[in-house]
Amino acid sequence: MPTISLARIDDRLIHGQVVIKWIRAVPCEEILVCDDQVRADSFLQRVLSLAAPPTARLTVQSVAESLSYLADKGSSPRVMLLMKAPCTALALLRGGVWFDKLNVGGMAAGPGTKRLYKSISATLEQIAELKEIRRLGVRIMLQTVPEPEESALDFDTLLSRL
Amino acid sequence: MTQRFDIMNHVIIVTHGPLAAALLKSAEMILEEDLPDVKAICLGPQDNLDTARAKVELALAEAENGATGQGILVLVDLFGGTAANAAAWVLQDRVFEIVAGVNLPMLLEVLLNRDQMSAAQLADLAVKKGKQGVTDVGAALWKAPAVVAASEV
Repeated sequence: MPTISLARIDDRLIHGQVVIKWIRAVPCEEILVCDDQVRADSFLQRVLSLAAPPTARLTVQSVAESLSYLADKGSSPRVMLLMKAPCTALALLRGGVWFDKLNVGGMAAGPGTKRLYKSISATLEQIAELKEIRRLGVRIMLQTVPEPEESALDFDTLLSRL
Repeated sequence: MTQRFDIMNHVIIVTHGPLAAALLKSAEMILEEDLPDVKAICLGPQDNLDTARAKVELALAEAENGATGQGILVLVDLFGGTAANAAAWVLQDRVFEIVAGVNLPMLLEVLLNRDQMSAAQLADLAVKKGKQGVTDVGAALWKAPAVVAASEV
């Protein structure tokens, strides 16, 4: 039964930085991409699988499938959970999946977004979702790379500045 | 748990033209860190073996900065080119590693592992990873197995 080693929001899902840096910091046997859109796109799944490191298998699930898969927490495999946006994380949490920390690593700027920190921008709706996630007791760290630790920005600190 | 050696291998990149500096910049972007200790030497059209050698020696001295005895890995572009020959020429006076055919996959692996192994091991890794980094993406895509949804696990 799986255990979540890292829950991460990154709209690029699995890419260079994740594979090169995060995999080293957070050992895991499985990279789980939880996203309904990607789940429905078998071609894109294959493209993403190219980025998977040799040490971890890539799995793609819909939110519904992840709710089931991650419901019973165990110790194996260790899973790096990748999601595109806060709404997915919130859906999982509301559905009974638990992780005590959420890493927010990449959210692209676009119309209606506000830059929060480094390469992380969010719409007002997404900020509200992050606040709700925080309210549920999850600690949120805005952090693009695992080191140095000091490069991480705690969401609580960010809120106090907003 | 990463094993850290006390020795931090110095890394120097030497190429024709701006490639060395550009590779370094790209690596810094991906790793999201500044790498002031990694030296990039960009040889110009006016550089001959003598001037190139002097630049390599200067970079070696700067990299060591008094802390001699550390391992050194010099990454060059073309085997048999001025950068490679100039670096190889310096081998007459001192021991260090040189790997030709520097590319970004190689450089990233070297940077991530430069404090984890000896210079000789780092050179072996550079060769291995540099080669592994050359892949036909289309072929890999068509060969990729269908991705499993773990509900089948």
